[in-house]
Amino acid sequence: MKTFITLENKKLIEVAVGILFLLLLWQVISMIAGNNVLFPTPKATIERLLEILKRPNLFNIFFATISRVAIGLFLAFIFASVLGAVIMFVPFIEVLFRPLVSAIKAMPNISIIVQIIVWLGTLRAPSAVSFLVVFPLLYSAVVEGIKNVDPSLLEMANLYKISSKSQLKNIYFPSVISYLAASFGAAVGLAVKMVIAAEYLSHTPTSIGERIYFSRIYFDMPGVMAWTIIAIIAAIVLEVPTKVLTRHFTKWRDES
Amino acid sequence: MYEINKLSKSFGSNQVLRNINARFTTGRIIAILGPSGCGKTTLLRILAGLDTEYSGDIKGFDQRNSFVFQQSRLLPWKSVLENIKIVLEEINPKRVEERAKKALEMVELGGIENSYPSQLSGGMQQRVSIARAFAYPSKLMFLDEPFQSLDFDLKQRLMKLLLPLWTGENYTVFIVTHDVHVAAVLGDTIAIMGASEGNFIQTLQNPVRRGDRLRGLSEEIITLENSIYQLITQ
Repeated sequence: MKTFITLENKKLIEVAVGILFLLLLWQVISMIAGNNVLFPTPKATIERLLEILKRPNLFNIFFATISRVAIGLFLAFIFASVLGAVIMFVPFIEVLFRPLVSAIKAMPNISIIVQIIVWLGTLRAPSAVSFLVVFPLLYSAVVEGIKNVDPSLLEMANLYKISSKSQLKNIYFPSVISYLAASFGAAVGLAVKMVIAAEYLSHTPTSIGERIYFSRIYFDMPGVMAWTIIAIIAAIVLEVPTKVLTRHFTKWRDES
Repeated sequence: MYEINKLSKSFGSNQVLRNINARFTTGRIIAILGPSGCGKTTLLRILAGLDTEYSGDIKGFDQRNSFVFQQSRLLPWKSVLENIKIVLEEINPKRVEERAKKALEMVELGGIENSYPSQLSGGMQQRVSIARAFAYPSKLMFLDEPFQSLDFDLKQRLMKLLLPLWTGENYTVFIVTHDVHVAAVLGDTIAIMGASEGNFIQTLQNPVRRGDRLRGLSEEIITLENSIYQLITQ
């Protein structure tokens, strides 16, 4: 028994046990509710999910939502990085942006979504929402990364006449990446939720959010749950490349 | 020739260095010895150009120099070889790799080029730091308590490595230490700082040739160490 349970097996077993527990809890709650419209059973949801998976346009819907999230994430990362680089040379810029970033962080998400839908329309709103909710998170990580660059390493770099360009690449960037890596996981999850919420509210065509909307208005709660599972899969799919990238840039930590 | 003229330095109301005057010949190893807090690291940092707020004048130090810090100050996200290559920007790119590897072999660390600093012991990290200092194109080297927290055996091994390297490459070296034995073995000149004087209280010349200093504990080295102890404890 002991030899069967290797470290990798142990992780798989833990995930499987967790999922089984979730399904059991779900089943119990749906039995208590006693109404598939109020709270669908796991069986009803899985049946509905299998129907959805056979749809010919599923890939387009899935890919469209993921693209909107990815565009927003990418733009937020670029803006946060560029602004962070500027702040390194002109620290006062951080002071200028502080109230704006704090305001965006504090703003209720629904306010952000509604405003953006009005300004940008149903097609562009979801990506813009993704950008706006994720940017403060990534920007704060970049600023913290810059502020916490080890001054002793910078002193060593200055003594050895390492160029500013090399310091940026070899000292500032890795330091910032460490902070960004910690924030990216949360950023992906948040972006997926907010994009789908924006798609739902604005009825963006060819989107997971729109599908959830139509499932709701037709009281197709198994459909709502099934599309929710698809949304969770979208978040997992997006997390994979970000985890691969952050693991690449932080592999030195795993070597210790 | 290196000159220090009327060098003084204060941190607020605390005067750490007071009117230091000294001259040192090129190619010498100068061990600066003194108790904690006497200002020896402050002096070293001024001479290396890391601290530019002082009064007085220093001559001959305005050149490229290497520095071995108390902590290794290696970039944790770069491999050992990359940590050395990064300081060789001004070297012909074709020779960078060769020079970096040679420096690692100098300190007997050939073969760990791809390791990360976190995979190395403290002593090995310090040796990489020393390799970096040797790889860098300069003939002036500063070391600030480089053997702190290393055991005696490792200290002896490093000193055995360093003396011939400094001699072969004709380095001028300033090494700060509180270890009398290190000062007596490495220093051609031992400049002793007082606890509160902010200045050198005595300068001794090492009577033992460099090549003979690590052949066991000679009477002359022991006598020198005793002289240093007496001066420090006066």
